[in-house]
This record gives sequence, C-alpha cells and structure tokens, in this order.
Amino acid sequence: MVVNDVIPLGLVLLSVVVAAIIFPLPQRLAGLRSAVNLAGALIKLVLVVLLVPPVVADGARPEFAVPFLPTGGGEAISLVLRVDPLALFFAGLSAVLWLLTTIYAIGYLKGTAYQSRFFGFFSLCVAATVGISFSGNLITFLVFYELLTLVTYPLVAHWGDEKSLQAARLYMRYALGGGVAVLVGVVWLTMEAGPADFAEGGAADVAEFAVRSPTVAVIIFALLVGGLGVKSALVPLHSWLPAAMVAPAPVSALLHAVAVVKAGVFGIVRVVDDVYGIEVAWELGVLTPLLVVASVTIIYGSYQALRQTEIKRRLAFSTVSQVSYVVLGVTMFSMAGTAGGVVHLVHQGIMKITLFFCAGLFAEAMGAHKISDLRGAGRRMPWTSAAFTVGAFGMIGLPPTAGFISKWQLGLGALESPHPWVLVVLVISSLLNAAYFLPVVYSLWFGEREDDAEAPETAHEQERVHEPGLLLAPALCTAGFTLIVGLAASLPFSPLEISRYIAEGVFS
Amino acid sequence: MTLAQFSLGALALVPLLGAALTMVLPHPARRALGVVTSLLIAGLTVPVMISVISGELPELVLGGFEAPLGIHLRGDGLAAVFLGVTSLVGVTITGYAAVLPKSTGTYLSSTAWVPGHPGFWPLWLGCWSGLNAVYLSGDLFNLYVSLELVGLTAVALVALGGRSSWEPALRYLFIAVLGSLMFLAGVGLLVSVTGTLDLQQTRGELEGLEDPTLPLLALTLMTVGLAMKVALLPMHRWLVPAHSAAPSAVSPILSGLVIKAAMVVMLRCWLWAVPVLQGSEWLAWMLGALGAAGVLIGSVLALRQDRLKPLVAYSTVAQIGYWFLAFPLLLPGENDAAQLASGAYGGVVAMAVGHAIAKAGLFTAAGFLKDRCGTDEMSALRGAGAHHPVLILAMGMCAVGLLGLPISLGFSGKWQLATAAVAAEHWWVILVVAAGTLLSAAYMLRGIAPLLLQAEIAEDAPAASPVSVRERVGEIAVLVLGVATICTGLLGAGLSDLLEVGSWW
Repeated sequence: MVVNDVIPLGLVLLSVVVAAIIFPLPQRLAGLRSAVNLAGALIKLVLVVLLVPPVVADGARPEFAVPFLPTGGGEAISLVLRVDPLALFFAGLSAVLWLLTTIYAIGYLKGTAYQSRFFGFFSLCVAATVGISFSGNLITFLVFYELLTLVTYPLVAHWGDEKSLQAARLYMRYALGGGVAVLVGVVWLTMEAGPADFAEGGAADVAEFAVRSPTVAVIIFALLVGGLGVKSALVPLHSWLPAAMVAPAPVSALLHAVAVVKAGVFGIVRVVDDVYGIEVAWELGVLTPLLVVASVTIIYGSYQALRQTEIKRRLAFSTVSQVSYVVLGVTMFSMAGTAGGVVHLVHQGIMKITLFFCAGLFAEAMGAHKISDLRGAGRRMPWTSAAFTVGAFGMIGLPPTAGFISKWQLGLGALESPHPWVLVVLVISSLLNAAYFLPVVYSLWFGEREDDAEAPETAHEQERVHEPGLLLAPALCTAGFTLIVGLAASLPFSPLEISRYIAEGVFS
Repeated sequence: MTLAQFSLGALALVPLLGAALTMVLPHPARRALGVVTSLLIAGLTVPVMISVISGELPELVLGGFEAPLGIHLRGDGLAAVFLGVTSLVGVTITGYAAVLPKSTGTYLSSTAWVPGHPGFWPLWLGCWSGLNAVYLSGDLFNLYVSLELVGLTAVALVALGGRSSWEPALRYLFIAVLGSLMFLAGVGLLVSVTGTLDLQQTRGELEGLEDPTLPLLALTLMTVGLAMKVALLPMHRWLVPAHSAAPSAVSPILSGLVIKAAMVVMLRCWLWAVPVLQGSEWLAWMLGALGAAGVLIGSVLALRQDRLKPLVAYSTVAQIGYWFLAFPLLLPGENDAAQLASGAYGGVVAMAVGHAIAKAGLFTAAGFLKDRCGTDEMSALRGAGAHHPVLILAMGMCAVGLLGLPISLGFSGKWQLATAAVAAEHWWVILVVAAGTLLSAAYMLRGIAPLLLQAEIAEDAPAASPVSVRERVGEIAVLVLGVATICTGLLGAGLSDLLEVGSWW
C-alpha cells in the first residue's frame, strides 16, 4: 500500500513542520501558536489511529527507506521507518499524550516568556519520539535517540536560571555519555552483523553472529543496554532524572511518560526482542543479569521515593522504579511477562503523566511543592485530588486501574518464567509503592492544616482554590484512561490485547 | 567545448575578473557586483557537478599547452564535492557580508576607524578564484600557484580587522609563505626525478622508480609545508589568533574554506601524485598520531577559553585532527583492502565538508554576536540568546554537525572513519573519536549554554538596542548554514559514490 508507506515519514515531518512554523512566531501571537500546536497534535493522532487496523488486523508493515550511510563497497545502510505493532503502540501513546500535554502546556505557560522557543523544541521532541518509535533498524533508532537528547536540553533548561542550567548540563552529560556507548555498540554490531534490521523474533544476521562469537555479542549487548539504561534511569545511572525535575511541569510530564525515559526502555525492548531476539538473548545469558539490575532498580527507586519530601522528587524516584517494570517484563523470558512489560510502557505513561499534571496543578494553584503542603488539599482542589488519587492507586496496582493489569500480567509472567522469585520483588515493590503513595492520598483527603494560630487565615485557606480548566482537563482525561484501560483490558485493540499480540510475535 | 569544460575555465577566471572589477568600483557597487559574481560562480558549479555525477571527467587544457608544461583543469569527484560546498558557503557568506557591511572589517579614514572595509570584496573574490583553481588543478605547479593566491588573499583578509589584527596577520603571513616554500621545494624535487608536473604522469613515473628516497623526501617536504597551512597540531599556533582576530565575515571563510584548500592539496599529493612508497608508512603514522593529539589537545584548549571566537577557533584545531587521524588507514597496504582505504577517504572528505558548512555557520554567529555586543567574552554574552532565538537555533544545528551527531555529514564521516578503523583493527582510532566527541560536546555546551541564560543581566545588557531588519537577514544566513549542516547529513551515501568518480583506484 503506497499511501501507508508515506505515513510514517509524514508523522515525523509533521512535528518538524509544526516546529518550523512555531519558532519564528512572535511571542504575542499566542492564539495562532496554540492553534498550530493543537492542529498538529490532532492530525498526528488521526494518522496513528488510521494505521491501527491495517497493521494490527491485516499484518501490513508500511515502510519508508532512504540510503544514508555508505559502507565499504557494499550497499549503503538506510534510514528506515517501519510501522510494526510495537512501533504503533508507542507512537499511539505519544500521540495521545502529546495532545493532552500540549493543552496542559498552553495553560501552564500562559503569560510567560519564550513560548515560541518552548513549543518549537516541544514539537521537535515529539518528532524525535515518533522517529524512535518507527525506527526500522538500529542506525535509524540511534539518529532519533541522539536527536531527542539535543532537543530536550533546551526544554530542561527552559527557565534559564543557574539551577536549571546545572540540571540540564547534568542531563546532557549523562545522555551524551550513554549515547556514545550506544553509538559504539551500534557501530560494532553493524560491522559484525550488518545493519541489524528490527524483526519480530530477532534479526537473523545477529543470531548467526551470536553463535559465531558469543563473547563479542555479549559485550555489544552490554554496551547497547548500558547506554540505553542511562535514559531509562536504571540504577546506578539514574541521578540525572531527579535533578531534571526543575524543568516546567509539562516537560517533566512528557519526559517521564513518553519521551526520554520511555525512549530508553523502548530501546531496550527493541534490542532484546527485535535485534537479538529473546531466544538468542536467553542463550547468551544476558537476560538474567539485566533482570537483576531491573529488580534492584525497582526496589531502590521505591525506597528512595519513600525518603523524599518534595512532591516532584518523590514522583521522579517513583518513575525510576516503575519504568524498570518494563525491563523486568521483557527480561523474565516468558510470553506473559513480555506482554506485561510491553503493556506497562503505556500504562505507566498514562498513570505517571496524571500524577505530574496534578503535581503541576498543586504547585500552580496552591504553591504546594512539599508533600506536607498537601494536607487537606482534597477540599480545596477536589478534582485534582481525585485525579491524583486515581494515578496513585494505579501506581500501587489496585484494581480496577491500569496498574493492576500490568502487575497482574507481570505476576503471571513471573510464575510462568524460570524466575518465580520475581514475584517477591513485585510484592515488595507494591508494598513500598503503597507506603509512599497512600500517606499522600490520606493527607490529601483527611489531613488538617497545622497553622491553627492564624485562625482567619486558615478559614480563608480552607476555601476552594480555582483549578484552571486547561490544566485540569488533561489530568482528568488521563485519570479516566487509567480507569478505562483497567476496566476494558480484554476488549479488542485494548493495550493489553495489542501487547499480547506483540508478545506472541516475539516468541514466534 | 562542452558546457562543463567551459565552466571549468570560468570557475577559475570569473571570480578573478570580479575581483579586478570590484577594485575600480565605488563601495556600494562592490557589494552588488560581489553578490552577482557569487551567484554566477554557484551557477557555473552546477554543470561541472552534473557532469561528474553522471560519471564523466571533464577536462580543459588552457592555452593549448599539453601535459608536461601546460595548464590542465580537471573535474573529478573530489573537485566536484569541494566546488559544491564552496559555492554554498561562499554565496551565504557573500550575502551576509553584503547585508551587514560592517562585518567586513574596519579601515582608517582621515579622521577615525570606520566600520566596513571595501577591500574585502576584491580580496574575497580573489581568494575564491584561488580556491576553485586548487580544486580543479591537474598539475603540481598550478596547485602551488593557486594555493599561494589563496594564502596571500587570506592573510590580507585577516588584516582587514583593524590594528589588533595586524600582528596575527603578520604571523599568518610568515607561516603561509614558509609552508608554500616547503611545498615548492618538494615539488621541485619531484620534478627533478620525474621530469613532469602533471599529477597523473608523476604517478606513472614514480611507480617505475627503483629508489624511493628522493620522492619520499619530496613527499615529506610537501606534507610538512601543507600541514603548516592546514594548522595540524603542533603547527596550529598561528590559526587561533588569526581566525579570531579576523572580521566577522572573514573568519568563516578562513575556517570553513581556506584551510580546506591545503587539505585538498594534501589529499591530491598523497593519493594522486605519489604512489605508495616504501617507507612512507611512518609518515602516515606520524600524521595519525599528530591528528589524535590535535583532537584531544585542541578540544581541551577549546574548553579553557573564555571568549567565543577563540573557542570556535580551537574547535577547528580539534576538527583538523580528525582528518589526519585517518591517514594511517588511507593507504591501501599490502593486505590491500582498497575498500578500507576508500572508507577512510570518504570519511575524511565527509568530515571536512561537514566542517566547512558547520564551522562557517558557527563562526558567522560568533562574529555576529561580537559585532552586536561589542565583545565575545562569554560572561558578557549571557542571555544574548533571548534577543536572537533564530541565531541560537542555527548555532545548535551547527554544533550538531561539529559534534558529529546524527543527522549531519560529521556523523557520516565519523561513521566511515570508525568502520574503517574497526575493519583495520586500529581500535585506538575509536577511542580517540569517542573521547573527542565527548570533549567537543563539553566545549560546545560551554560556548552556547550561557547564551540561553535568562538572568536579570539580560535586561540591562548593552544589546538592548532593537535588532534591525538587516541583522535579522544576517541571522537567516546563519540559519541557512545550520539547516544545510543537517540536510547534507542525508547525502552521506551519495557523497561517497561521488568521490569514487576519478579516484585513484
């Protein structure tokens, strides 16, 4: 199908075009800027939805390729954009969340300076994310992965004060260091086994190469996953993530839910499932160490989250922990586990973005940055608090939220897999999740403010605070999704069903 | 005479004619003629490139003098690539200089220093003529003459920057002349052995030779002379003051194009004129080692600068190192691998071309900021980005090219170099490339991050005067180079095919 072949390219270019329109717009044309942004986000969503039936139901794989890097004499390595179910899964997530985050960001940044720059880089960031999701081989993935590092730097540094710049510099150091490791891994693998096209069940050339020289294959795997582990904040490569919390709330939301952190884990999923192939990776013996690292990250992240007093920092460490569920799922070597890991890509995204939207709302409307500031917020900002509660329940894994589905699926996977002890990790981490989220939820609804001495002030403070609509609506939407996805998990085209389909492909 | 042949001659002569004409014109007319000439040159480049891309090798014998003596102009892949990039950068910088005349230097009128030097136009067009002649020359003596033309006009261009630039210009002059003399001595030695100046005939003569001592000495002399002109570490000391003291419109020409001329001659000598000589390996290894030192030391020195233009200039020193890093891989050894050598060669050219575009953009941007804020101290430029978002974006794109991140020719080049190094099992090359990339990220960040700062200082900064329309257009020139840095990144595969046309194997 010729039309479909152009769609992946169109999706990448769409965001670039949006960025190109937005950059030169003067600050005062807020209406036009918002219109361009929203139009771009909507078109993108429609295009992604149009791709779902042919790709998932008919098994089509639209592909766009252009020669890129010369090789010594042989055929040039191409930039390949290809749509497979996993790609579509990730692109769908980014399309939905981009739309919501754009609405949120328009409300959040209203009246502040440098909006054109912000939204320009924001669009480029989405272009890079779409590129990552549609990448058809490691080279293409690398190109967009590096691009993502570059375009998120100005977003993290957006406020332009010393603290932001410092955090951005730290982020850049980590991300570029990881990028170099990935680059070396990709160059090496390409030299040994050709351009490593992503294929369900692993690339044939790579499998052959792994038999030929298993040691080198393991080293390359370590380089690739180590580099990707920086962005996915695997312990001990996670320090940049809590520091990057100084960025504006929509940026944090996007970074944690779809863009940077997710790009890292998405890359790990690709390397394990589509480059090496799960069977080959298992035979090489690289899955178990990675599983252990993921388990350590899950527990350590939760433990650190428990110790934080700032809302955003607690959420950051919670991300460190939660994202590793994906790695945990794909490395436990069972079909149900892989499905659980892949579905958590989406579930974690919508739950975490809800929490970040709410944290931003609390900070904007009440000036609440610390967890202690949230006492009694349930009465003053009921809708926000409700959305936060849904997100927090999801993170803990209570039914009927999306988080429950993920953890259930992961638990099933652990029992099927050769590593039943992973179930213990899941239980401990859920307990820790409950330990750091439930007190927040409790103080939201049942906490009392302490400053009784100033009684008139208190009376005033107890009044309802205005919750800005542009900020609240996206938060309520994602909270709604968290519930819907949890309730309708077994309907066709639900994330769980699609991820089961993907997992079948991986193990075929 | 075909159109391509006509263009070969015209490419060398039209800018020279333009230079002569601008000399007698009044100042505003010089700008107009300069722009027209630059567009004409770009137009003439097209037929040559088309003919080379289709696999032909256009050739022109000027004045009807045949090979051992005559003036041969040859178009091949290497020439076409550099003609193309020179046109792109040349037209953009010409436009920038025409729109912002004060970027062309300052001159002493009867009363005071006046911004905008009319001498820029004849000198720049003369320099361009020399560049084109270097790319197209088919014999050693013409290479020498055109290189001399490029070098002398470049020195004069530096001196346009006013009193503070005279000392760096003088230093540059000494180096340029000394380098040329060594090159000329090498050429003389070669001719005494082979009896011909023509590149292809020289190769033919040398291949039949028993004793390689004399040609080896000649190659060494030529290499050292050229390395001075390219500014390979440790012969780089002249570059930093010259490139940073030069006027805003001149620095990009020097860093982007002028040193490439010497680099092209270097490639011509090593790959075309002289076959693989016994004992030339140590020379190649020497160049490789100096290249590695250049990458590392140049980057560290760049990191230690407090001013923007010297930082960018030191980054050039580091980038030059990458090109020489490939020399040990460049020669097809006895275990052959012509493929390997072609990979390294493609890598060098891709990096040099990518550098030409990106560095021209970055130097233009640095000069723009210096002209506007009156200084290029990085501490004084804090927050300057707030008034020039387009400029900062363009600088970011150029930085991508210089870092060698995808998508850019810098990336393609490093890729080819790295794959060739892996195939030859020279792992140290990979280490140097990786370390160089990280260091360059550090100094680029150091250069660009303060501009993004939105501290209160930005409010009362001297740059508070409104940005004029002309300055906005000038920013567009930088943006063109930035976008070109990214877009040319997609041409990597095509570039390496193009280089195969007329290559020596």
